[in-house]
Amino acid sequence: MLSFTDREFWTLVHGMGFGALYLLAFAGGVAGLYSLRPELLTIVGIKERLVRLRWGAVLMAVLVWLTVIVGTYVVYPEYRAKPPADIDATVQSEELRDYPRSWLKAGEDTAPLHEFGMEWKEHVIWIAPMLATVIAYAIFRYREELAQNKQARWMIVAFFILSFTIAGVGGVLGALVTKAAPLT
Amino acid sequence: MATQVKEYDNEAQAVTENKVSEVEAAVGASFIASGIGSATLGIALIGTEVSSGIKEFLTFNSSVGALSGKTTVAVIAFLVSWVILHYAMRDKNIKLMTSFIISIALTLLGVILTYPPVFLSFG
Repeated sequence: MLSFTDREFWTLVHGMGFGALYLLAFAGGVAGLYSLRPELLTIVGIKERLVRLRWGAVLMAVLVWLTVIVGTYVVYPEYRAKPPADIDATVQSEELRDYPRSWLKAGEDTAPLHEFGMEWKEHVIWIAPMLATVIAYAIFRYREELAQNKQARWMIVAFFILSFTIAGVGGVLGALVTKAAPLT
Repeated sequence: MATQVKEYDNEAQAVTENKVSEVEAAVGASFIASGIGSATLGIALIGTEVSSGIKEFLTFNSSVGALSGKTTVAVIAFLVSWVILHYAMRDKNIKLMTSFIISIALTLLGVILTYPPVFLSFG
């Protein structure tokens, strides 16, 4: 029977749950904004599309906030936990495997995964929820006017792409770190 | 005389057309606030690299380390600047494009400052 430890469960919730859902929702959001044009839709169509877009953007913002909060306050403390004094932190032993950051730093080949990968991911990812919040706010404020206002629409798409790129970088780096030193 | 009145009308119309709407000002304020939050994150990170005192001060949660303070400060900067800019920009005629450019510049500054080769060079 498939079972998870607490650490595996929260890593899964952080990465494959909230994080992956956010990245998937991005495609829907951009497609919705791109097609939100009066020449493509009826007035009823625009109204119907806007309701979905509005609540979809709010859901995306909530998902990305949950991703970074769970990642920082639940998963990250387990990742950076220090090994007890009787475990040699300079050798990649089986005992050290329970302490992913120390294990990565102990190997010449794996140290960059922490020093570059994890260090960048843990910081830059916090920019994504701020951008996602602004996207949701802009969609809410503009309402039907968004269909007519091409400039505002493209600016929001640019924010979408920036937020997605940052979250994508975080996701890829997180997957590489987890593959090398999984939290078990 | 009639020509003069017409000219005044055109001028008034031009001023009205150039005026930034309430929605545009509000969204512009949120754009800039997200940039301020991002740049604050990068600056806080540099702060912890150059000063152990700042690093200690920003360790709000011992199991998370200084990351807890850096991100909290960035989120507070984002929210507080949003409220301030929301009211400050209501009477200013700042176009959405201007807010967008400022926001993108500040966000990219935040991304660059969080890039390890950049922030480690301050350590």
